[in-house]
Amino acid sequence: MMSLGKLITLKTNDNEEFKLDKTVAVKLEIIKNIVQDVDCTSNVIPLPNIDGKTMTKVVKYWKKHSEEGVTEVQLKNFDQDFLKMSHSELHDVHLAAKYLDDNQLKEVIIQEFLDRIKGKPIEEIREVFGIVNDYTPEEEEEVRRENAWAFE
Amino acid sequence: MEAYDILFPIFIRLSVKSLLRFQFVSKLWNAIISDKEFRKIHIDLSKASSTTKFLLVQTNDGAFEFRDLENPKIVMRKQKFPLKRFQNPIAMGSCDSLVLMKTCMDDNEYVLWNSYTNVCCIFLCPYLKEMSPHGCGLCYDSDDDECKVILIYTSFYVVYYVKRNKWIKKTNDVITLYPKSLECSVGISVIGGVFWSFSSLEILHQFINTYSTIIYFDVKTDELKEFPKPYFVSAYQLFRLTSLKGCVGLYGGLYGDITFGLDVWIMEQGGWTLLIKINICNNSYFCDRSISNIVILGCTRNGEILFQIGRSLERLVMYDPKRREFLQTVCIFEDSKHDSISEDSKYDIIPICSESFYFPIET
Repeated sequence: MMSLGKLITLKTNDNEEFKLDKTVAVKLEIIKNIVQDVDCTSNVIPLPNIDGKTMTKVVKYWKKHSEEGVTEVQLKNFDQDFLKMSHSELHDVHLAAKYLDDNQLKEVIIQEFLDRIKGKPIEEIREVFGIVNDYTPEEEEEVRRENAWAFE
Repeated sequence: MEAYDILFPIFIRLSVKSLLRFQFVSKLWNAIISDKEFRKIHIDLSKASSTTKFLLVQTNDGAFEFRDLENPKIVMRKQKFPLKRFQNPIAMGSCDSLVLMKTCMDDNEYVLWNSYTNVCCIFLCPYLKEMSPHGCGLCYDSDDDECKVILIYTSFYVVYYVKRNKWIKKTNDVITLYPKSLECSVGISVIGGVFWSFSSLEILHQFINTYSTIIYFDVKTDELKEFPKPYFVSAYQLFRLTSLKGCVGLYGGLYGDITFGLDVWIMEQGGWTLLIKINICNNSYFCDRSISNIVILGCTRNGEILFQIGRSLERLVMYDPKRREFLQTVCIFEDSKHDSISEDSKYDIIPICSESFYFPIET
């Protein structure tokens, strides 16, 4: 085991390094497990599934949410700002949160996705998610007829 | 795969209505939403909450209105029954989002209908043609993932296992001991079974007092059993069955006259609890004092109780037990339809417990 108070270095797949206070990092199950297994001398944890750009966002989120004396309102405002990212960036952060087993962050991202699609017209959703409509007009007409009430 | 990882947790939180709409976003979205495994999880989550969510109101033109139980003023949508030849179907019972329907024209033909997704199937009872059962009911067995329909006749009862498409004819003491020339009450579906009441006095048909018997179908054993009458039911009182928070409930009071107060009891954790006692004395909504003109439709998240009242049960009233007052009233058959309310028409409202894709068989 590494000694207390030390910094932990997380290294992304594009070799970017993030130094984190150990008390912040071990809150995450996956980091805690790696910390217990990793070679004491190196203190560097590789994150082969996450790139630096995404990890910057994740670390920013962690730091804010483990800040001492931070208020609910401050966190709410921070989250609102934090979530102002493109669909694909949001997707990357979700994958990272999933890999790091951070349920809180995962939940925040899912909620943001839900807010982005709820009640929106189909065309707008396709635009947000960058999805190409692969239905033929005939196919679309048929499914639409079957579930007409859902479009009221 | 990556898209699935993010879409699955999003979709699982969406309503059936949103999901049906989102099927058109792309074929991939459609594939995830139509996936059997996904639907199963979505159904289980919808079933997890057993409080009534919607009211299905049959209107005079044969269509159905969906009203929010929490705010019954709002008609969320209107829908025609999917089978055209089933004119003016009667609801014989409901369980989760399923409704058991039948017409007066045919004694053997039944329709099981998911009112929410408008999926339905027809089945024919192979027993006693040209004879209507005295009681009908519908329940869901979570252990078996099976939907069971119960039909009670004079000397036997039958259970139809919808998923397995199998009929079983049964008889036992409960059936043979009591004269069942009279009809049972409407079947009340709760978690674990269906309840009915019947009486040896014709005048008390639909009510519970010392002359009545309460029976229930136990979904675990598939047996019809007698249910012990609660201690508070005396010869001078009249009660009716209802379903509250997924449990069986009784409401009524002295002589079945609400002037003397209306008691609502609930059977929770094996014992009866007096949920509320309402003093209706000076309430102008209740111009008719008889318990036969009052139906309890369900309970909101905040514990308010929704009543259907009036001579032809044309009005909805919400009761707030904390403030001890009636909050809002909605006339469910106003405007143009008003002309066609006749003296003996009664308005059937079916409480629906979940908005779910669930249907026992593939259609």
